Amino acid sequence: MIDPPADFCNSPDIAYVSPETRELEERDERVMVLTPWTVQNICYEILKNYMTHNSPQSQGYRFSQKYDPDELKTGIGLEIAYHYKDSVIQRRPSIYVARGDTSFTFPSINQMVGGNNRESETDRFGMLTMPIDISVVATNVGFAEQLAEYVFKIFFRYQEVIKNDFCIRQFKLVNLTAPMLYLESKDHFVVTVQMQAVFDMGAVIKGDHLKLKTIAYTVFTSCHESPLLQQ
Amino acid sequence: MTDARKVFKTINIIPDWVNGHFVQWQLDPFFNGVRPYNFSLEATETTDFSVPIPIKENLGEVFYAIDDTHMKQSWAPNYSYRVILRTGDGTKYSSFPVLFGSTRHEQRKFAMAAEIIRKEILLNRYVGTQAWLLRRKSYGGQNKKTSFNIDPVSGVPITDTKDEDYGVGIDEGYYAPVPCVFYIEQSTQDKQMDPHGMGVKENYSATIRMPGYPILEVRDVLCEATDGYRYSIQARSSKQFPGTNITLTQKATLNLIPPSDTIYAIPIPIPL
Repeated sequence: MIDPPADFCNSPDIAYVSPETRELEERDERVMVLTPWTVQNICYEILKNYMTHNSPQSQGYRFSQKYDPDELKTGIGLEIAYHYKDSVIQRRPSIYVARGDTSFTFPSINQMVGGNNRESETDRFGMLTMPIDISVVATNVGFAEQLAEYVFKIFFRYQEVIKNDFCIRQFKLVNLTAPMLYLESKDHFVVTVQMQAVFDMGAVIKGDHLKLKTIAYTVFTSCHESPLLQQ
Repeated sequence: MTDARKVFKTINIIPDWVNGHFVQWQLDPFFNGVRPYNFSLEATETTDFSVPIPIKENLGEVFYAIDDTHMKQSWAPNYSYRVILRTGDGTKYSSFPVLFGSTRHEQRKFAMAAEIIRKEILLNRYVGTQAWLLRRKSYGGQNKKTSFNIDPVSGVPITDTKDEDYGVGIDEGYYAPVPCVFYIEQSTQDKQMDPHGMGVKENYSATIRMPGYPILEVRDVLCEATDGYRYSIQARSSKQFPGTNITLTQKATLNLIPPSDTIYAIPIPIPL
């Protein structure tokens, strides 16, 4: 075994190894591990790219605010929910992407879907059903409705494409909530675009203790060759 | 300039929500203008009649007018009337503004109220903060830009655009800033995550007190002249001189508007 360098632990090149990054390392570079966090981030990223390249004006909306990836310049805030920030001011109007309660389903017996006995591998599988809420906060109800429409339009048009591209089992718009008064300072309203994603999570469990051993026979003949020595 | 009190003796408003509000006036008996007289009635939401709303024009020689426009739809004291007199030689006389729903007051009560208000202003001069009041428009037209900002079917504003109508749906959204002074009686500040995930909710709420002028209304915006804070008026109460409707002091609950709001784009004069 080669000893690691002395500054191995402090090396900046070695990232923190989380379950997700380890799985990503082991898999094809283009394959993304779907977890509740990553699926939520897929929605965030799609929304970010869409709003960066398709201004509300280009989509036929009248409001002048538009998204800019630079959070200091943007006219529309886009955030993952519960992200506490002190670096930027409270942005209105804003869009927040949040995931809801995720439920697990195991359609196969003992989560098994296959395996490789020779390599001592078992394939485990589960399905996750997760709602994704995209909340739009804006002042005056008409503007909140328009902004929500601008947001859900991308998913309305491309939910099938997104589903196929990211290998998500089900990805669809479910509900658009009624505007609710959000008491803050001026009359702000919240409209939530509710989506549902069903995706697979799998795991390959490797165990060396189950590897199939090579069978060999040993025939002892020494007793026959010199029987007197054995007495 | 002719003193309005030397032309108009009294002006009374009798609210009538069905047939229209009844406004009647009486000229000073010593006023002797060139006949014929031609009266008009105007209303305004501003304190200085900078944006007058013509109600009735060319009434002729009458002593009353009925505001049957039905624009005044609440008891809120945000609406003033005045009578315009044009005499035969073309001279125009404007009456003093009369607040909607106000009644005649005894001179003695008025004098006492005026003294209390003077002391209130004095108090505010020493402990108060200079500010500008942006009064939200409830009446006005829609130019081409504004008409694009409202839904053509329902008339609901669908934008919140600066330099246009600021989400109000009426040209410019707010009237020109009016100077005022107030002081904060109590304030609370709270900055925490919103339990529903809607980012960092920053609440700054203050209870303020100010003289009876200019009259505040809910959803008006109060702008601190030097610190830059802009507050939305959430609730308002007033203390009136007993037996009259002369406002001595006002109290209001304010909430700080997020700095990214379009309301911060409205320019206010910088104090020297």
